[in-house]
Amino acid sequence: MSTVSEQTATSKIQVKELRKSFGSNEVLKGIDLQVGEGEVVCVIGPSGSGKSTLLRCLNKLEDISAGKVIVDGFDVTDPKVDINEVRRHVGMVFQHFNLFPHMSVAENIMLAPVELKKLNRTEARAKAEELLTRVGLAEKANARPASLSGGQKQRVAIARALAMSPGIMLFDEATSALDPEMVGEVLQVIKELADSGMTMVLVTHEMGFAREVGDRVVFMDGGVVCEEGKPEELFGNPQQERTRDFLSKVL
Amino acid sequence: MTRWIAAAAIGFMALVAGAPGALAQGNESVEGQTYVIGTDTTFAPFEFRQDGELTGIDMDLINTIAEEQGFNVEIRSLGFSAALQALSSNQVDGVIAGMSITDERKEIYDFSEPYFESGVQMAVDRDDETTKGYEDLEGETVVAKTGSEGETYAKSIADEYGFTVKSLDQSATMYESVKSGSAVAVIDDYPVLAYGIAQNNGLKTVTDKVPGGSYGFAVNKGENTALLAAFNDGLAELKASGEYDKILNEYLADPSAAVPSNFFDLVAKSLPALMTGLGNTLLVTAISFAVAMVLGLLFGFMKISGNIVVRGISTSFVNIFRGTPLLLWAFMFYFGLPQLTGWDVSIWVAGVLTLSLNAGAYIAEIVRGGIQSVDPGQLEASRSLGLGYGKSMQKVVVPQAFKMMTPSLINQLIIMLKDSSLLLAIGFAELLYQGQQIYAANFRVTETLLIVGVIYFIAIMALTKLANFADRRFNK
Repeated sequence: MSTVSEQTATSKIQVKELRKSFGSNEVLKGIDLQVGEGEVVCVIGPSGSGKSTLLRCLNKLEDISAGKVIVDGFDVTDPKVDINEVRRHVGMVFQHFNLFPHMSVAENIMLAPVELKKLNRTEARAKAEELLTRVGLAEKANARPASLSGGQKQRVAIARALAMSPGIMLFDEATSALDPEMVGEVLQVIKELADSGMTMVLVTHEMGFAREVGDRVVFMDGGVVCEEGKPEELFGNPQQERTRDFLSKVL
Repeated sequence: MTRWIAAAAIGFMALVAGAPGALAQGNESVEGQTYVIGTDTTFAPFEFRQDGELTGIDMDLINTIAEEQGFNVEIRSLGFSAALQALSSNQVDGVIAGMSITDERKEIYDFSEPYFESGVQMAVDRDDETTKGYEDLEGETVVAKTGSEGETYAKSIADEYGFTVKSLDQSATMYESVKSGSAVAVIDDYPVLAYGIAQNNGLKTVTDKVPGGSYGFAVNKGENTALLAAFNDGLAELKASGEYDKILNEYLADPSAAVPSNFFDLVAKSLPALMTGLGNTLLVTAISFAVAMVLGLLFGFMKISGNIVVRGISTSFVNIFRGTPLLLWAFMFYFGLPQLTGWDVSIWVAGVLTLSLNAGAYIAEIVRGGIQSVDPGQLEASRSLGLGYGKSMQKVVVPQAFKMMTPSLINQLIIMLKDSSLLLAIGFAELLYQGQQIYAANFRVTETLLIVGVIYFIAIMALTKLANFADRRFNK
């Protein structure tokens, strides 16, 4: 496992000159980003700006065309690095939940710890119940995902992502597929996570939430980072014309 | 057709097995000797199987003569051409197979006195009161057997009486054509026709016998003279004692004397053989399906591989076996493969190869489709947890794909069970083959096929119920 010496002591994620192309279409055109330990970074921007692609490059769900991505000390662009090992340190929550429909809620959460031999079944079951209590769904342990509401599914997905006790959590538009009345319960869980000191990167359309929970907000457009700063600065006094234009449309 | 294929197959196996050598030689007395006699597989009423035993006029004659003359016979049911080949190479001592004595054959074999005078006759439906002779055939269709004396004769008079000759392969099919009305009459060899009518095939003869060839028992030229002499002596004695007429009458008796047996007698008599056939059908299907599943999973996964060579191999496999008829592979594996490789390919191996490679190609497509129908987000979610590709497929993707594949797999299993009937073409003793054997002897084609159809239907319904039960049980 190669660690990278030049990283700053408190930096959990370092992105340098990251480029990503799908065929001839370049989606990320040189991104630089740093996320410190315990920091919550919200990424906002119009559709097609590359926010989700950036997030998916962080755990290499997308192959990286050029540049460097260092996550929790691992250089994920180095082919010698075991990406499965890196992913155990990085939990991810998807827009469409992606729960495993053929397993119960508890089995969804137990899968990774048991299969990766981190915990035995009894320990994994206890861990699953603890996580479910944390997201307010202790009574749903034996339910099938299909019987849950959208908000409940996403809370289970968060519990599943936490099962390997990751140091970093990635949220890819976690509330976009939810009915409006269910957004609150999921944001509540995410906020509690943020308050517990978890390092997080959130791609979101919830501007109010980004403002409330984010330590820093990154505005992306056209495959580049246009502007970043503290929420009150970026939302209150945006410096770039494109940022102002975007915020005027969504706020 | 099956008769020729079976003959070719058995002939070939005889060649592979190597020559056992003639068992008896010279002019010494036949007393106490054992002779190997070759014959055809099915040529009713001269030789055919009844309840598994080889019987018929030829068999009764040779056995009775052997008993009278004090020698033993060992019968080899090889098929007509294979029996003649075996005689030429001294693998058998004699051949009795309803064989016409011809000048060409006399040059290479020595024949006994004729033991049967054949000829050609015409028959019509038992209830047909209008067709009484050739002059009533104007504008009608008449069926005859391909390559038979009956066909030659029918064609020779077709223009004179203004009818059309349609050639068919099997006696049973010819009789069905007449009974169903697609032909008005059949012109066939007299003994075959007489036997069919004696078996109550629903026809009656309306013309006198046109004298044709004589049948003889043959030995290789200059060999086994004692055997030939003993046959002639025995035949003369049987004719003198009246035993000869008794044997002939047993197979060619006046049809008016025959009491038509009812449908349930037919069911009771044919059921044991049909059940054996059903057992073979189910067993070959079960084995082939297991092999096909392994092939299908292997090639299905290869089809979604990122490697273009691996994908290409799988695509070629699927295209080859989906793009060619099942029957072709049955012939290829059973007849072609042994000739190309020198291996002894058993009929079970050929049958399983044929069915499993064909179904394997379809199952590969089902597997590929099943896996690709699983939301890609499922694999991503599993990979994002740190599970490897193989583990993710095994725990997350394949269980869901399998659930979606199950109805298609059940369908494929049923198709395979039905397709297994094609193996009758290479002589595999499955259900429909057993049915054919039965109606080749009793000519009750429709009733026999009806019974076979009902058995297939029940077996498939039961299998479907079982598979659906298993599906509900394991794929909740």
